[in-house]
Amino acid sequence: MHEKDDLDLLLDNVLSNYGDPGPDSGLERRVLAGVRTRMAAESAPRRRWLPWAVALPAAACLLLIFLAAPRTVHAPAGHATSSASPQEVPLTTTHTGSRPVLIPAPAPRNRQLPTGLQFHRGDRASKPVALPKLDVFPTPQPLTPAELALVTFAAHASEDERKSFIAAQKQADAPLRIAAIEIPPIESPAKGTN
Amino acid sequence: MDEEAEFTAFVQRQSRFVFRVAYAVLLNAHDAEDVVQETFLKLYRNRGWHPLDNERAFLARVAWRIAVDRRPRQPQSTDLDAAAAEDSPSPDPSPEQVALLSNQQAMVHSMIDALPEALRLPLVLSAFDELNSREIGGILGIPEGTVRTRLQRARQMLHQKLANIQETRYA
Repeated sequence: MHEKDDLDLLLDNVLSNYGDPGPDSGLERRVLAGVRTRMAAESAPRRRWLPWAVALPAAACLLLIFLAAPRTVHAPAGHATSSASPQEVPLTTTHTGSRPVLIPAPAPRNRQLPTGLQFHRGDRASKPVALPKLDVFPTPQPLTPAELALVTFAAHASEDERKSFIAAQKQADAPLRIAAIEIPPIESPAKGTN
Repeated sequence: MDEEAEFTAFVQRQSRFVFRVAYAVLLNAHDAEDVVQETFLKLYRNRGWHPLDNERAFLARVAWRIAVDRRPRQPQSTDLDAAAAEDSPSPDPSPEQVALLSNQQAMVHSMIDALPEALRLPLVLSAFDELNSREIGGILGIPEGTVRTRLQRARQMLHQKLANIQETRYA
């Protein structure tokens, strides 16, 4: 039993100091310093919004640049003119009467996409851009000074004056008849007069 | 006394105790010190250190939970009963190791380290006079009777090992 008591005493003695760092270990000081440091770090104002404040405007700028960038069809140089969409019919100028009018040029009969030029679904750049529809075609233009003078004349002139004006206009438009020029032969000087 | 001074006195009074509880779980001084810091930081944040009925029981419970969370994942040995814990591997110091441990106290210390956790924790906590079996059971989440059984088993195992070593020495 004496041996057991000794072992119990030894065990209790070891257990009373088990895991004890000791009074001079500086544990309290380190723990206090650590707690205060972490509390100070946590109480500091957090600027979590700062990255967003930079990233959001940058993303907005990139989006604007992307939307504003011109879209072009990347086609081989030789087929550039053939890739126009049906809506993009070239306009030609013609004269009807005294006023120029824009009319669409006749489309080529065999209008096919050139080899090597393919339109991809979802590729916005390759989609034909539709021209805006006009309410009145051709677009009304302001009257020229000559047209204004004609309108004023038609409004105020009498019937006789208008008829004479039309007759004069027809006469002016009528083909001119130019009489054949007859040049008499030059007579030779009489002999002996020299 | 202002709040800062109270907290400083609280840390100075209890940090070693918290360290010992954490060390009993982790068996590593560095990790145990981290647990001490985490424990006091948690209490400081929540102002949970002002009026405490049983200061040490409360601290031991908080520190034990933090230490268990920090411990590497392993089977929950604390839920084992004493018999199962006795069957678990408990590496005895080899004769060579015993010979090296000239200091008897260091030898017993290593024996306690080698105890299964289910036995070691109640034994270490029982060394504090302020903690009775009911409070130890509350900290570890086991019934009071289980605490007593495990304490008895732990002491028996240590006695047996020490007796074997002494027999070997004097043989």
